[in-house]
Amino acid sequence: MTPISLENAPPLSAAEETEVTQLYEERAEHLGQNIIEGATTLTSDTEDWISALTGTGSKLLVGPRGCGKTHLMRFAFLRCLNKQELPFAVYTNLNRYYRLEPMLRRRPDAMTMFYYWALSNIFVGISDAAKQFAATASVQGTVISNLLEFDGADVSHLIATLEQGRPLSPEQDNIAARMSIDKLKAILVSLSEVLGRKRIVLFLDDAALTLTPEYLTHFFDIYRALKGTRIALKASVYPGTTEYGPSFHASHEAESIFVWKSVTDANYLDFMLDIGNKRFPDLVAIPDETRALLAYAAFGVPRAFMTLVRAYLKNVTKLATPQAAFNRTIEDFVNERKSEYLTLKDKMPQFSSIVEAGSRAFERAADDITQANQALIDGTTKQLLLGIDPASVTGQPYVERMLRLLEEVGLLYKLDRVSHGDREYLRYLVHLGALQFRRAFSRKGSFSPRFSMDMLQRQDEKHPVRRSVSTLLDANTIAALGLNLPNCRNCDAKRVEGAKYCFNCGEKLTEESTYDRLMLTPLINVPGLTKWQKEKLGEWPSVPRTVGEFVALQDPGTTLRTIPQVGQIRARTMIDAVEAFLDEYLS
Amino acid sequence: MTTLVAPDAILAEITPFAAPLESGLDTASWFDAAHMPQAQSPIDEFRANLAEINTLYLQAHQRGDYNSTLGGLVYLGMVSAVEGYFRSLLRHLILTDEMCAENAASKTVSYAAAVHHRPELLPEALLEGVSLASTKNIKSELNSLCNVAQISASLDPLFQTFEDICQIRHCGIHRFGKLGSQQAVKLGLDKHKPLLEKPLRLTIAHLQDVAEALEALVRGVNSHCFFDMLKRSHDNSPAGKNKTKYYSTSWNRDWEADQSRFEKFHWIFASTQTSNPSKPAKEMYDAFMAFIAAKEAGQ
Repeated sequence: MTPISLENAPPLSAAEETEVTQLYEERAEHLGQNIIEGATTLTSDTEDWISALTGTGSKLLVGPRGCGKTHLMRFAFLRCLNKQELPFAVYTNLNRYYRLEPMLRRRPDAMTMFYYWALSNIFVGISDAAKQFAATASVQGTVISNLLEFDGADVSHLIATLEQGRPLSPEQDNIAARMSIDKLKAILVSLSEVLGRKRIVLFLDDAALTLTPEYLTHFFDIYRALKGTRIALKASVYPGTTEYGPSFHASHEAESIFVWKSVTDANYLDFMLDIGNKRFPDLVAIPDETRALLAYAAFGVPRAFMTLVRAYLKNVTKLATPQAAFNRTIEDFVNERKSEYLTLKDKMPQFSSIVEAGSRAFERAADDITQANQALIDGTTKQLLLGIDPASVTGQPYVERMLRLLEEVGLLYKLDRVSHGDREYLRYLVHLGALQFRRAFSRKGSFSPRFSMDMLQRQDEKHPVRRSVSTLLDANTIAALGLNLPNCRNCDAKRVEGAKYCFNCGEKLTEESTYDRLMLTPLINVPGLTKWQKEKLGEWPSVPRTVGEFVALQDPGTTLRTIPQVGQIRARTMIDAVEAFLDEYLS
Repeated sequence: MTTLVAPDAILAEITPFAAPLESGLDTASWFDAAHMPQAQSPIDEFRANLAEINTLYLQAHQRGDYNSTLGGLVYLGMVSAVEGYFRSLLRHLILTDEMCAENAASKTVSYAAAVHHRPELLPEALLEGVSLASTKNIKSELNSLCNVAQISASLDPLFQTFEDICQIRHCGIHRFGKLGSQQAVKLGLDKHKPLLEKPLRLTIAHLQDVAEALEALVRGVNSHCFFDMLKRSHDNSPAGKNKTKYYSTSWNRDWEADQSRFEKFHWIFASTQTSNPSKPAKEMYDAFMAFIAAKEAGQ
């Protein structure tokens, strides 16, 4: 691999393009089907997960961003496509749900619009899948299109109209009104018969809808209603989500499949390194121990592993020693995880003080676990576990929420409850990157990847580091935990928690649209744009200033190409950066 | 020992009560004769009424004075605010909109209304015999007066909720909140059968849900009705594509020339309250013109 240097790259270098392309391809939805098949690691876990996807029964695929949920679903889809005895599979990605978020704040009929949108997306998934399955089963295209009842292009237009918040035309109103859950089920059943498949599996990817709990509730009503004797639903969600609305009880309605590999699993390293080898051939250039440490730092998230490997390879060419390169890589990575977590404050302003408290609790936990390991440094065991006294959590909704948000972004990994003596502790693994950053597994003053790796492979301590929330957070922080709600916009009276109307003036208490607020983000602040790109975007007059204005452009490519030295490819990478920002940040 | 005369023993003892001082009540004094109809659009009138009701129970709750009897009364007031909105909306449309006026022309009003009402209040008399606390009646009046035959299907869930709220209102008015069998059937027997003859126990969270559902319906209908009628004012004008011409004049597509007509129409649907107001007439006009232009370009 050519060394990459982004700092001094006036015109976009070939290497830079490679980098952006690679970054792009780390997201599975952009991978081609043949790459998916070749690059999928089939350990026994993955086999189990894929069987859960292709098998019967409703499932929730649970894992943080980047742990491979999309990859698994797309792989399972391909396996179904190629094996006649497996079910008819449909893949639908819901990550653009946030485009309907402004509607939620302004349109009383937003729920219906979301319903149309969700069913339309599932329909498009059905339509695409039917065509692919028909090709392998040699079924005539006309047979399929007759069964589909709706025209795929019309439905795609309907989706676009809804995402842009424009009014539906009478024709679209008509399509939307005809599109029902029962109709989709009927279409699915008749398609599966024609295609010679006994069962149907629906993959609903990115169904966490974290920014709009209102839509989430509604979505899981749809999920429930779509289930059928021959139709099994598989939705991917983030860990920590426990509320899917009043009529959906996750434990009854679906089985949760945890697809987030635990660093305590015996085959953890094999699992990660195998993925790395398949998707990142340059991995061999990294010494074994360092490679293992990076795999541990990724904390069970393959995409994070690839980010770490790439960053390390880049740092090694710039910095004097492998030690410096490793330290820098870990430091940058941990900072990124932290700032990713802190973006929750922007995305869900009502939780900002809870997020803030979570950050402090996490740091404290990482410090304490580090100390425990330092005490074990000459011993034969290691300590990765944090045990939290459930009495300090149960019935404390804000504390529960705080821990769940840390789980959601993957900073804490919750293990099953285990009883220690007479008390059941809530057991968590603390992100290993944060522990490595604190040199938890190194002797003071020395750098030995070998030693750290050996220590990480030691047996676990029998008991976790036991804490209660009151030892992780100071009393003031705990007392002040609460929602951050803006005052009434009409009369500025303080809001009562849970209230829908202001007690003082009687007006509706309104929420600001997160999407609309984020659209005001200056274009040059979009992460993923290179320094050079940011400079050019900042100084070129015909380019819009904000993300919102940019997204509204009819043809952003043409606008970008008015900048000197920006051609097709560079324009594409910039557009991709903005889209990745929207997808990543808001999903 | 004295024994009471028989009638007294019965009438004075079964439900004793002091004789009221007023023998007949002066109902005329109950109304605010000095009240001048305010220049408030239907939606603003609704907002003001709902806000007033909201403060009633929310502040009672803050003082620790809230109880479910107050809740039951508040509930009736909320539905009444919705009825008031629809009456006001239809009245203003009949007075302002050519098509609605035409539709209303063949309807009959009572002799008393015709003789005694001021012209601007006369349309109100048209709806006197109709209860607007029902989805069916609202839809039928919107259809017969405004030709809104099919209001967007996207509002159906809101109308459904409204219908449920109206069923329970019925219990509030006629049975002091106890659930009757007819209402239980309409609300769904599976869930409501065990609740027959049980009283309403509304919490302030319930009331806020009801307020939200009603406001959602009113605002949803207000928006859709505005948009539908705007479209019709073009499509069914001399310049429009529809054969039936409800309107004798077309939009000039020039703000100066259209301003007065558009502003009158906009006023009926717009909210000018300080919080969450409607977009100004000019902006809505521009959006309307852009919509017509885009539609024509697409044809």
